[in-house]
Amino acid sequence: MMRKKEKKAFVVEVQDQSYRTFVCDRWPVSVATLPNELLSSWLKRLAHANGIAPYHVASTLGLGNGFGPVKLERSIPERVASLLNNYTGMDSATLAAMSFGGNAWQPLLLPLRNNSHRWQSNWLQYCPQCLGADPTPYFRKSWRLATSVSCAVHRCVLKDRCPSCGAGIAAFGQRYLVPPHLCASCHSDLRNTPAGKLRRTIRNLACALNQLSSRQTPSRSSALILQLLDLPAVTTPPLSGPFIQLSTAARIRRLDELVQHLSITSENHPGQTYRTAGKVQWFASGKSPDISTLRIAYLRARTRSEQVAHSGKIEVLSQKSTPDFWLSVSN
Amino acid sequence: MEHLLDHVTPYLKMSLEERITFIRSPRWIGYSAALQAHRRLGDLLSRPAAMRTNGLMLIGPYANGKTMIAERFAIQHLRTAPAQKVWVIQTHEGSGLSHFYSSILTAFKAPMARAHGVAGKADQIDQLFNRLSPQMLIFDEFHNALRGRAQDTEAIFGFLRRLGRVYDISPVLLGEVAIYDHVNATDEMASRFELCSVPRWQYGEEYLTLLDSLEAALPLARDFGLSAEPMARKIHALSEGLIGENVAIVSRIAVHAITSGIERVTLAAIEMLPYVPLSARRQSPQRNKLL
Repeated sequence: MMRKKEKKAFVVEVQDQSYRTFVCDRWPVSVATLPNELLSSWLKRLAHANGIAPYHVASTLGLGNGFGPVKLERSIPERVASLLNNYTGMDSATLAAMSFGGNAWQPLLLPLRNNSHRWQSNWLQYCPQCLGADPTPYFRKSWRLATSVSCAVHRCVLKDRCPSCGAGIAAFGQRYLVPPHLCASCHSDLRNTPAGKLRRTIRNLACALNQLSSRQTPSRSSALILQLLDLPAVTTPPLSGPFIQLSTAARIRRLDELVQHLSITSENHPGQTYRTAGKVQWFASGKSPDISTLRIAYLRARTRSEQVAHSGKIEVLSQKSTPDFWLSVSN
Repeated sequence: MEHLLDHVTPYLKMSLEERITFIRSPRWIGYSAALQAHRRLGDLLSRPAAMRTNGLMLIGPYANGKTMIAERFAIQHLRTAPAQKVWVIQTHEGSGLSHFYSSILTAFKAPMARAHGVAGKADQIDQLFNRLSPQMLIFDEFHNALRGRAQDTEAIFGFLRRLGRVYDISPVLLGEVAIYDHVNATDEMASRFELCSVPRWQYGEEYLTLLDSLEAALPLARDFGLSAEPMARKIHALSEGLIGENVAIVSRIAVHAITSGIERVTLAAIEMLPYVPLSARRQSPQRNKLL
């Protein structure tokens, strides 16, 4: 067979990459974090986006039973952080920002676990109006703290149960594909919970606690934290069980009793108030044996009450010689 | 070195091991049937939305470059498209929907729940497809899924039809002639799939061009003249028209020539290569030596 003089040629190229090496290991759907989001809420949305129940995400990350991510919020081990980075591309700084590792307020996290009597002591809290206002509902970091009993934005009381069936809010570990704004047991919409107003008496205290706990490392607050943990013991009648294991309603009652004690005290012993230019400071010291170990400055704004609490700068100051301390609010 | 391609000439100066490694690397060859297959895949990808499934069957004998065609198409798509719309799925060995779904989930790198049954996997696939909106799924070795009971095969075909109806996904089925038989067994499936065949090479002008192109891509100091009549016939007979075998034989020749230092090839040398064509291996002298 005769060949032509000039030769045609096909394109020949080395194919050094196969399809398998070209495609990365990431999970198919990635989910961005929302402002101030809780880690377990992000993991729940991530699981839902990739089509599996949150329970299985926990086992994919090697976290054992369904409560793994709740423990993750205390501190994230290196191994889990690198696995999450591999599968989702989320860097460890962002992951740490969603959890409480290294945060001074960590002792005041709600434990969210079953106690030894096999019934759950408390549940994750939520604000129905925040969930309703979100384009994508998600759970905030501050809702896991025991000091949060009211919403910082909407000023309504936080709920911790489903309005229809009364079941507690599961932080994680559902075996079914349910979006975060539905109750895990009865699938009713949590955004429809009727909003409750906080009692006027503790409104300012709740706001002050919200503002304090939003700071990462407040100065000299460890004493305050310890005293908050002991709060049920100093009420009348004293309760057993620490503050952090109470439900939202029980914690509101404790704080209410505290405020009433303080108001009685300060009427008997009018606290020294100092008013300097632009600054109002309240100092309260307790003389009665009930609250002798607990001194919290009691915020009673005389003028423009809520605006002071919200727009003012709050500092925790203490004197070196005595264990007293007070909260200072400046406009 | 005018007989070599430009990017190959530097390799002549390298060491022996590097030249051999380069010769043995996998290669893409853009011959006319492969480019035609790419054009059809591209047309399928860019077609407007349709109500019925439109699929393609890429069928040919083994070792004939089907996987290379599909993977090259997918990699080019990944390089150029803003979002991934083409996935290559390696069909799992077992028949039945559960294995089939697992193949898809593995290809998507999705997290998998160990306890999920067929229903759980189906839900997960629905969730993923709703989010990602794939347009083409290429199933490599699809005949693996057909080696089972008739009801399993029917279930898988039903799934492919649903993909087209609900998500407008074009399935591309890669494999051997068994796929053609199963698909054309019913009008329901036959009307949805077109054939793109990857046949064996016949001895002809195009085959000689193939040999020339291969030679030009290998770092050989001299033009071997493989496309001359007797040697080309011999290589064609040994390879039986399969491009994978062709490339293997030519690489073997080149490696042998380089290592022995004799930078030329004769017909006798080709016959002395320890190479037995595929169909002759079942009853070959080399088998008798194993007894």
